[in-house]
Amino acid sequence: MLVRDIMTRHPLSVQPDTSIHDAFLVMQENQIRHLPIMQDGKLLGMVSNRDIRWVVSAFVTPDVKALQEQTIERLMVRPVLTVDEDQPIEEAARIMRTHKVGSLMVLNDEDQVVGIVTGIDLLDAIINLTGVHQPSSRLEVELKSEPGELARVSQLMANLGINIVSVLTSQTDDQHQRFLFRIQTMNVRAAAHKLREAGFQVVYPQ
Amino acid sequence: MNVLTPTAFIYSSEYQKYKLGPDHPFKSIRGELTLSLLRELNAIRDEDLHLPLSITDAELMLTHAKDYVNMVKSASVGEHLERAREFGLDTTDTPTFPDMHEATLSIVGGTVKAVELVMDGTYKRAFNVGGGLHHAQHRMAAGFCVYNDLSVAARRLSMAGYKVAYLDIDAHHGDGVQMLHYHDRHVLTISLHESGRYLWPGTGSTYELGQGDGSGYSLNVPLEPYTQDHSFLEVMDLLLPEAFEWFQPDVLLLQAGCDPHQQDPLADLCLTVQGMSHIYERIVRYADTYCSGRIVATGGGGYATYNVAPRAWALLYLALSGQPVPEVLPESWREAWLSPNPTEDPIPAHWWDDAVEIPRKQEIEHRNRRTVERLLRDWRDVRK
Repeated sequence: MLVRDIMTRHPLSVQPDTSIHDAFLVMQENQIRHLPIMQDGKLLGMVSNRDIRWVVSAFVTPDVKALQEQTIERLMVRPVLTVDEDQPIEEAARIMRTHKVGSLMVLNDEDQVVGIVTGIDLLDAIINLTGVHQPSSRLEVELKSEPGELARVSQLMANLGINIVSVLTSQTDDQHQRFLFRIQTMNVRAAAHKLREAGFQVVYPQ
Repeated sequence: MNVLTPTAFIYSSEYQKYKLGPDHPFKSIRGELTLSLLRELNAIRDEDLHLPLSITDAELMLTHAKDYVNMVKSASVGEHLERAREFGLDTTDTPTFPDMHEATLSIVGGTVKAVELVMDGTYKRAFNVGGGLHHAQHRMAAGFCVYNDLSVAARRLSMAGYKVAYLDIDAHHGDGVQMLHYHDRHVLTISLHESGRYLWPGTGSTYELGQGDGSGYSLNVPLEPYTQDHSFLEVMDLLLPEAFEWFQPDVLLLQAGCDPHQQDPLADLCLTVQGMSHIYERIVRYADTYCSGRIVATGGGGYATYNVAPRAWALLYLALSGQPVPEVLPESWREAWLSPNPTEDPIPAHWWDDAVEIPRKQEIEHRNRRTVERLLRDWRDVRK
């Protein structure tokens, strides 16, 4: 899954001379938390919901309140963190986690802005990757970390005519991996039974 | 025979054509077994037996997409379909079979007939033993279900101005019915099921409360695996009175899948038949209190075909019609049937089961209580 598959295309943006107040309204009315500042197709900066709330808060001190009369250019953060549209999504997740930001602007080959990717987009992607959005049952198997183990499991599923919706893996120790399958059958026990017969260690269902 | 409330039983030999294959866990013979048990018990009158209605394409398409219905029709006549899997057909769970469209339509017609008999006042209660295909979706077959008879029936009721409380006690979440009415404020869907953490279809969390117009009109209690009779009843008592009091339903539509039973091979809930009998009686009592006693019931899941389904659904019919349970399971009925798998799924010797000892019983009860409390808290917030 690449960034271009999950990003929001044509994100809303404002010009640098927009007042902070108007920019705040754009974010409120559209229920968004990240607002790029663009001029003539060029990315200048970014403000987040938190940056702007601080300035428009009722609790601000007089010097901060004076900022409300200013334009968004005064408030924006730059440089903006970006990611290329053909990067894998895990790369976007890593950049966002490292820099503790909630969104990245997405660039194409010509360095033009083509979209925005946010933490919410990444969560949607995780939901998609786990397969829980499709009717399915959960099957957990511990396999040896050896070539061909996963292939044997999927061959067994193929023989049973069962579609695999998703596969997630995690390392349990040096020699083993835990595989979490979501499979498209209501009769998950029959599948688990076949796996056990073939000598696999099925963690769930028991 | 001492019938307190005349109760219609809808059945047709057409239901036997709903054939998913010799090794498939779903066996349509369940309905036949139930009817023959009721007959041997002398608990059903011929005049209360009814045939399904015929359903028009137009009514079916209020629930299902046209291209999906056409796909099912083509599969029925044995055409090879390139795109079948896109519609959930031709899978291990829901394979295609001859006369698939007609067979499923007769089941839909059975539930709609049950609804008609209750709407026109002929009966207060009706039971379509073949119905309960709660996983079928708008444009997709799923989990052994081709068309969603429950949703078609709920629509006919709500279009006639009735407020429908849908209660699903199958071990699996009633995802199809929930999704088809997720934005619908005329149908309150309530599902008690084994948690989707592991079990098909994975949905049915407490936070699924409906959307838009239907916000607050979907309720789900995901139960712990190995939940037993007492906890199931407790959860029902914590939720149903408040839900019915608030919604003020005109009729209760009950999906009475019997796979929460401890013997069922496809799920891990741990009810006994006597527990299920209590549950049916309790539901009847709630319907009396909150919706003038009107109940339209269907079958549903239930994969201990010979052992559990006939007992459970005969007990449901007895509860609906207000008849006492005869002390012994008739020998004549036991002799009339032969189970193909007497070790795994024997013909039962008695009405009642021995309960299984569950080491984590207290913990399970505690967790279920907490789940329903959390649901009530979130739901009260949403419906403000």
